[in-house]
Amino acid sequence: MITVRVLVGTRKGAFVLTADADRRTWTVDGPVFGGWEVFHVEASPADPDRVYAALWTAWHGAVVQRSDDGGRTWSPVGNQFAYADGDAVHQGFDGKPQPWRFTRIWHLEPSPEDRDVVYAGVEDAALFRSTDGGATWRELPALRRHRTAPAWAPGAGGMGLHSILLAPDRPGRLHVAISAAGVFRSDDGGQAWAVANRGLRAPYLADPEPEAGYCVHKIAMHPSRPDTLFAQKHYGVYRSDDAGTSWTRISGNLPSDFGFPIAVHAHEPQTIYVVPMTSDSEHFPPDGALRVWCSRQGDGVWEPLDAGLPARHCYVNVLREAMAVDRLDPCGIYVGTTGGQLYASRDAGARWEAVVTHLPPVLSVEVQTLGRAP
Amino acid sequence: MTTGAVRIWLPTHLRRLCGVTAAVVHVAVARPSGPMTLGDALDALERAYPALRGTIRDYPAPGAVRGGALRPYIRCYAGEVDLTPAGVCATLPQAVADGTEVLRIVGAIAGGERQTPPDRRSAPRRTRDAVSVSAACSGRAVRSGVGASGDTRGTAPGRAPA
Repeated sequence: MITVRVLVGTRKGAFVLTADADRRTWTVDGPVFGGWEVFHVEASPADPDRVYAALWTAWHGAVVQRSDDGGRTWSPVGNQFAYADGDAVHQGFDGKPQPWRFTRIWHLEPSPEDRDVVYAGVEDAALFRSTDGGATWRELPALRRHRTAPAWAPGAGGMGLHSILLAPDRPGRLHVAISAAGVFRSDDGGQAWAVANRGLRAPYLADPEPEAGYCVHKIAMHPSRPDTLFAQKHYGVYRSDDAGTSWTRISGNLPSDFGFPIAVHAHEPQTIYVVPMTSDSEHFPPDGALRVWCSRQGDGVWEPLDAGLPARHCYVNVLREAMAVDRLDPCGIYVGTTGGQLYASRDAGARWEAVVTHLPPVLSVEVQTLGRAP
Repeated sequence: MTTGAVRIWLPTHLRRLCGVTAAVVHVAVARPSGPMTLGDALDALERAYPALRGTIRDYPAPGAVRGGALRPYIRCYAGEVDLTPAGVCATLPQAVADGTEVLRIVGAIAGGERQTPPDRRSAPRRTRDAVSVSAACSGRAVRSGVGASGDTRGTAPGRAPA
């Protein structure tokens, strides 16, 4: 018996959607954490019933919730994120030095091996790790001590660390991405970091090719090819085949090279999906038509996948955490919008259906494929 | 020794966080000497509901024994008195310290109804006003439990530099 469980974070709570392998009939549970902004909900690959959620409000700050029964019940765990050195600075919007200040959690990345180990990417950009199921958090401070860090500056949404990739079969390797600093790589579990931005371009900066300063929106990787990375950047979609040492632009025939999420097909490690938006100032789909675009070889040759998606008068956005895939065959793809719709495709994007249409604005989508592996 | 059973009104977000359904929780506050402060009440509240740590006031600075300053946008009222300007060192009125009056913890809001001075009552009434909760709106918004709305800092994780 296979169950697909979709974990949806929204601006006013979280929802858990479940279906069998057919993925036609869905049960929608929620909201939990009503009223809280749920930036990310993610389950442990080591224990599918262990689920972590990152909550925030402007009034009450950040909270981490944990479930040990697949999202049915939750308990708050630790929310103290103390930076290792309090007197360091980074750049503010105005270019002036700002002290690092914890605001909220953008991304949670549970370890594939240990259900109690989980990484958190936070704002101001820093990487934290818990080894006790989220009860306590300790920073991996070498990232913020990188020589480029004093020049890091926020994007419009804040300076958040939003992508954490743990490479299977590459013990100690970590990739993180920060808006608006770029991609960084560690090969020793976060003790030392190298810039991984060569080949990216930032045409909105006076120096379009700085060492750091890139507004990378999301990076993705297929676990079978940990040296191949894909990035959706503020301008452009990029690919690296050397673990981020160098990047090549693959925007190709996309209608716009601006967008937020990027995802990799579960069984085709070079097949990638993006959701282009019109521009950085118009965060809605070109022509008012929501389209997921797919590159079968990850090479810049793109095709729109829009059967069943709104073809006109659609002006929603798809945020960086709001696209995910399941592990069934054919691969399922799930896209959440700022209009509160969750669209699902049971056939790798060939056709889409709205699973639910009136949620609060969707901030994140993750998928668990439970039961017998395909 | 000063002791009291303080009654504290929590906004909806915090009720959900600490798993209570009632708007008002009762906490026992003990203080070795002197008047009871807002910090004493928050200490007791956090002991009773550890999930609230870090959500009303900052965590203690390294080496400090007690919690830090009130978070931005958090306001605390003892009856009609806004304790926020004095922060966690504010002395609680006796009526709050002995549980007669409720201590209210409120998420500041933009909007609400401005009190119109008597000599301007014929003027158009402003229903939206970009100010935080203050004495001017505490009488309605706080008592009625209108917790929070209208914050604009909640930028989505998909936002990008312009």
